[in-house]
Amino acid sequence: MVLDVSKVVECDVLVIGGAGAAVMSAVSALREGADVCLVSKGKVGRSGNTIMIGGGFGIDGRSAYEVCGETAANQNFTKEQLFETIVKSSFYLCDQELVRQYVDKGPYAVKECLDWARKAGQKFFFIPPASLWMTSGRSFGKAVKQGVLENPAIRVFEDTIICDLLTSSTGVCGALGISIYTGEIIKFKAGAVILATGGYQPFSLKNSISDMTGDGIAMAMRAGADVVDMEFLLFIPTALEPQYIKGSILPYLMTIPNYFPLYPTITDLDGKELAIAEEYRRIPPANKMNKILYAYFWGKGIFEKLDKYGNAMYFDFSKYTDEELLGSFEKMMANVAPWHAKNHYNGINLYEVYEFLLKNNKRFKVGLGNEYSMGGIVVDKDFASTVKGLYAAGEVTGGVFGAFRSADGLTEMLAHGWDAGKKAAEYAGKHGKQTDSNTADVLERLQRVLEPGEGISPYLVISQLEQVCDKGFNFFRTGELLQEAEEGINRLKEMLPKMKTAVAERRYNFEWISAVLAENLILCAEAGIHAANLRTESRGTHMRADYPVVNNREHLYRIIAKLEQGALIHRREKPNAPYLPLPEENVATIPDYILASVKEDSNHEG
Amino acid sequence: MKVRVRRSGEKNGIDLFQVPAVENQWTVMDVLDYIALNLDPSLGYYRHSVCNQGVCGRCGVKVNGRPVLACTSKVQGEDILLEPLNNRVIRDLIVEP
Repeated sequence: MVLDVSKVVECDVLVIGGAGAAVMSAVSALREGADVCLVSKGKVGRSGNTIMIGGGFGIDGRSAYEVCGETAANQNFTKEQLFETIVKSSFYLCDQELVRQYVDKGPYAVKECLDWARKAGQKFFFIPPASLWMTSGRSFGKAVKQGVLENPAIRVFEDTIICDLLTSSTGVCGALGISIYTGEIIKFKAGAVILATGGYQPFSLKNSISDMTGDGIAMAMRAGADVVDMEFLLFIPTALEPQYIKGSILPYLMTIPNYFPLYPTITDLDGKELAIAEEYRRIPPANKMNKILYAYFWGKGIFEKLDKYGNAMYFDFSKYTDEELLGSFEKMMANVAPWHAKNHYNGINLYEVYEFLLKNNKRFKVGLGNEYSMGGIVVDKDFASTVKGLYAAGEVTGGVFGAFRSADGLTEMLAHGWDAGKKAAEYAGKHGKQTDSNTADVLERLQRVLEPGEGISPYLVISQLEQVCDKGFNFFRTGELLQEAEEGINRLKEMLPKMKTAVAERRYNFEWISAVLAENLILCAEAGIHAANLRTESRGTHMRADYPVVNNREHLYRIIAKLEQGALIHRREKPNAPYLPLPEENVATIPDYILASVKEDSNHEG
Repeated sequence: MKVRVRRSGEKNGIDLFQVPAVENQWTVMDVLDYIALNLDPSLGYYRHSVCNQGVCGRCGVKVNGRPVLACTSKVQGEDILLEPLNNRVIRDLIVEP
């Protein structure tokens, strides 16, 4: 069997991804007169992390009033305040020009998405004090789908995984994909390519969609692009049990006092309380920096017994009477009822969870699950990567949120797509299409996995990668564990050329697809683990048990990675900070940094 | 738990797998993942863009003749039969999208 290209598709702008960043990029490129193709691993509006959202996304209050027409919006909450919050929450590591773009363009992109939602009949409720819209992942997906339906000139290829970018001597000029159900190889020739493929999550416990295998980030690296901030991954409380809700963010929602007014008692699996120190409990519950505090205080307890119990703690609601607990669940049901089936949150029957708690001393096992990756492809203010013809939008990029994302991934993807589509279309218009020089190499890589012979299942490689990352690259890190993880990655890299599928069938052979995913995820994890090892300090979501200080004097720089002759090279750069000056003093711990930052912001939040 | 799976192509027929599934705890997706990782990686089932939370609605499969979403359906009983949703089979449990 020899793999060959079954179909060639030509366009000006090729957008890779199937959710908010991709659709906004495609619509924006189309508006500039480009001929646009959109390729999605799943179905548009039913794939990508967009559909996994917990509920809300926002912009500043004044823009909500002036641009989006929300008359109840708090106009005292300005773009400037939002800008400052994002920069400080990034631990000053962000590219401030990208934050400016988020704040300035976000409102216009959000308005367009709200129009799609309205036409699609989806409920997006504005909450004035928080200046955000509440909805559900499924509704957001339908809004995004509306964007494609309204623009039928966009040629959509669904259930197609892009395996690699095609490059010429000038830069990126297309991509090669597999149509998953048929196994056909499709070659896309394009004037410019926009990656909108989301982040990377190399752990066994995640609350994101399974698409988050770092495809765009890894493909960009293989094409020669810079990536940044790969050591920063966001973890939030995520269900471990009952098994049928594993991966749900329900435990995180159960920390919200609107539903559950009494905070659960958090313990390790021996029953030892993992308390958040008193002085840090004053941080308002709505402040997203609480996510870091959870990972810090609870994560530390988990980390101490990681070898014994793994990534697990108890959420204990025994301070509630049965009636109080039921009342809290019912309040949650009422709040999410506009979007979810009766008594449900997504696919979970909340009465069943209540019953489970009653049968288990009102406690259940929770881990810290991966939600979002801050790192990704380095982009300039036009969302151009460091490789010509290659653009990126949304979670696949790095830079707007630095060490921690306090603002919204949804607004991010829409704002990015707004400009990325426009600029990619302009580039394609000027430069036309080039001829690639690597189609044969990519085909050879894909074919090798299908050839008969003894080998290692790609499923096993991904499973082992998760074990390596669970142990050494989780929410708490040490030099010793990171070193072990790097050695683990090296062993996995040796396995990559030995990957083989059990059958040579090409139609819906997910083991074959997984060989592509394994390569991508391992490259992303390698970049992240190495950066985490170099960063001998703590910052944002990067917590070093051996280096607790937020070391602004020596470590306030971005770690950038690039592939050169097959090897990852890392370098350091000062963050781009044209607006807010970078701090020069160290802070003793991450919680202290958060406390100081919240105190400074307290005037704004009122 | 005995898990019987209807296969297509060369394996045409019913395959039997022993899976250490916990009744009313594991989902059908947990069972399929277990088989693919530990017993038979050639098994075709919906896995390429999975929300695992009943959001995307794409992992439909028949369990003992009843259509369900694999990711939200809990396994029950000693013996289950997994089959494709309809006759438009592409491979094993995969049907045309």
